Amino acid sequence: MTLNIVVVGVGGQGILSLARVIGEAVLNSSDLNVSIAETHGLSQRGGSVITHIRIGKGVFAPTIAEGDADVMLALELIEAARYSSYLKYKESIAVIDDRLIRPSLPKVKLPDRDELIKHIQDRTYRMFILKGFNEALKRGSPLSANMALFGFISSILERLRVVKNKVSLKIVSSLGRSERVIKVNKELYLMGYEKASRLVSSDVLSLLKKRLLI
Amino acid sequence: MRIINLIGSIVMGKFKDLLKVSNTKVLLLGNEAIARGAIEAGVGVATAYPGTPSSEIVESLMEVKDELGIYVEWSVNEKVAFEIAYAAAISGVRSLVAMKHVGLNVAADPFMSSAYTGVEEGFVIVSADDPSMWSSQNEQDNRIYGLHGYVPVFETTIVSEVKDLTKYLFDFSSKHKHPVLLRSTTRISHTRAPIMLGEVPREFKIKGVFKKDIKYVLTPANARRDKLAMLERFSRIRQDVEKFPFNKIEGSGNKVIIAPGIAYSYVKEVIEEHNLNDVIVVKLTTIYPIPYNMIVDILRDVSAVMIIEELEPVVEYQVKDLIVNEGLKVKVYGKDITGLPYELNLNRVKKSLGKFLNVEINVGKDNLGRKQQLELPARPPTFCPGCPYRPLFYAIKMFIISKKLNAVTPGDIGCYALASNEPFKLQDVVIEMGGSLGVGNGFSKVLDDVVIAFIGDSTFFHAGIPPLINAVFNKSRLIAVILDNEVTAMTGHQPSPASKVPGKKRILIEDVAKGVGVRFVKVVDPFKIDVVKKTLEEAIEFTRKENEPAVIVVRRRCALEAFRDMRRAGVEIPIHAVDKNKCIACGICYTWFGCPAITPLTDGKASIDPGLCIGCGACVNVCPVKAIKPVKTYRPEELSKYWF
Repeated sequence: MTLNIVVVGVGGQGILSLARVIGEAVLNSSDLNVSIAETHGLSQRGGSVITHIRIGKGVFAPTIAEGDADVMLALELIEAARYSSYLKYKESIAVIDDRLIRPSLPKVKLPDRDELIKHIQDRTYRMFILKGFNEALKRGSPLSANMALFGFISSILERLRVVKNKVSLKIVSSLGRSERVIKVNKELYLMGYEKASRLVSSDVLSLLKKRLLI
Repeated sequence: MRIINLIGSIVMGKFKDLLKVSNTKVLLLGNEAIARGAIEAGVGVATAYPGTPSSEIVESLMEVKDELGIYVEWSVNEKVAFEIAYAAAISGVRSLVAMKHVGLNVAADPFMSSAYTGVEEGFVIVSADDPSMWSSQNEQDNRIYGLHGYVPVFETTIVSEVKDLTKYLFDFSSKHKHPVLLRSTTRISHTRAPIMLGEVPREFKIKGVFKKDIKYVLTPANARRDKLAMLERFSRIRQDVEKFPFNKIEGSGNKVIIAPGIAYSYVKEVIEEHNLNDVIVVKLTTIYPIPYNMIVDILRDVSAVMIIEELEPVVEYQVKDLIVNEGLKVKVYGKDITGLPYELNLNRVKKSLGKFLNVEINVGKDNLGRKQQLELPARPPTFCPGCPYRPLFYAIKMFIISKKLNAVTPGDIGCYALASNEPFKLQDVVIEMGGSLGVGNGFSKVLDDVVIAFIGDSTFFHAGIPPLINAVFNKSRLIAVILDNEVTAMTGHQPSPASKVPGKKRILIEDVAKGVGVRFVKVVDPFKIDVVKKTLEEAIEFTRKENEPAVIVVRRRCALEAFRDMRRAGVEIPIHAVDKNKCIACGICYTWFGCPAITPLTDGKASIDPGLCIGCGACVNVCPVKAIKPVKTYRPEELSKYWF
């Protein structure tokens, strides 16, 4: 069995980086196999993006089937709703950054934020909303928003014995061009990590744990 | 990214840092694994023209070329890339050429001939195909090229095996003195998986000897002899794939599943997850030719076989052929159940296997249709904030509207193809590299409309020069707008002949245009919207009067590159904001300019998203009441050295 994580958002938000750091954290913390299927090129230019992460003893297929994702990490609300068909209905969790980006099309009709959130909530076992983008923007590094999601999932994966916080933190310190960005990254990571430690209850963990057993 | 050493492992290692590492498992992208396999095999020359999903193969080799002392280049197109790698291989130097699937169409000519002459040393041709068309104009299955050209075809069945397969194929090609085709797909090239690193050779052979031989001269008499020699080599290859270490037969039963390439990964997962024990699975890496005797032996005593493969029934046809030849009594299933289009996925394979094996297999708990889905706006890819192409297409769109111009606008392959979307809709035909100018020639002969053809710098050098010469020679009334952002942007910023790269000679597009006899050649800055409009007007005038082509070179660097350089130099660029008291809610900026950072407020006034604005200032000239301003004063002229 595998634990299936989809990472979604808008091209340019740091989706591939987020997927890669999760993969690196898993590979360097446990004996489990990991596979990350990315999308490059055309769709990356501000388009809708989904990346598939699979963690388990035997991982073969590179992509996750619709209806079979255990976790969704979303950097944007519309994209979270768009890919909600990937979630395992009522048996999955979604961790979403509270950020709505208008598609740059003329006369586009934007869905309501609360409606989007309710839509995802209806399809998941539990949903968590982060304010990563706002906090990152306040600190002058809006692209650090993905680190809050990394912190959140690291905490969950640590309690599932898949990831070591020590390893994740080392990875965080390797990202970013300037000391300033590295500092913001770390702050956002810790914010997500602490939030998950507080909010993710043991029933959520046992739901996910089932998927990692053979 | 910096490298970190934990006990016995490498985290977030750059490809270059991994040269010193062996016997360690690291997370590599499929393309990086192919590059690593080539290194471990001692590749001496590697070439490519970039194209998703193939680009990172040669990009990775480029990163380490100096350290290893090997020759790596971004060639002007796939045909030239192929010919350079071929020249190395017939001179006894191991070589690799990589391209996306449609690139092999461009290189098809030397590809066919290379199998006739054969090679001296390992020659691995990598074709990265794109089932489901994530980043391509079609999903052609290049395994068919192998059948067409007598070039054996191999595919990895698991991403984590692709490094070792690549390495093995160099030896295989050397042994048979014949080119080989390693076919990858998006899901192999762009999947990260743990790869066990092997040893990097101490030395690389980069100089060879060309042994002159008439077999390399494909005049008819020699080619006829070569054909026989090729068939002989190919029959030895047929023998050799019978015992290919990456093929495997698993399980037992009365039914057989043949799973070529990545299809095996899907099949394997479903078989394991659902404990489907009563079936034989053939893990097939040798796609063409298939291991004939091995398959005959398996099919002799079973009732049915199903071939699960992505895209075309390449293996299925070969298996059906074998069944007829051998008079086997076995029922064959394949594309009739799996279907032809698009890539495979777990649900599709589960459904196919369920039908074939007559078992109930749960597909993913898809919640689509369970409840009313929300109506969501589409999010097609778009020009990045700061992209010089946005003001260009804005200017041309506004010009066409204001002059009520009947214009037809063939486009091409590159970021500018995104102008096919709203609000610009200025890419009327996009079919292939260089197609804008070729199709533009044709339009100018049969239409009275103004023909404005768009092509980027890299695509112009790749396949745009012959159709421009054609326009001069055959007097085509065509306006070629050549977008020069000085780089191959879409595929990840590989250099083009228009780039300023240390140690390379930059070629100016205007010089090429003048050199081939174009008499109207102007260079414009796309941020100067009025200048673009005026130049276009002059070009229309010229082409109408003279009945010959005009060229407008639109020059400004890709914003991603310009801003990267500004950040590295520590230049602070203020973002922009809308003065709400000045804004008249006309909507031009968010409706017709279409920058992702500009959004409308409920009262129709514009607002700039501070998380998306990068401070390029292109929108300043778009606002009719000058309501858009930088949040801090700065001198844009000081930044111009980064933009040009």
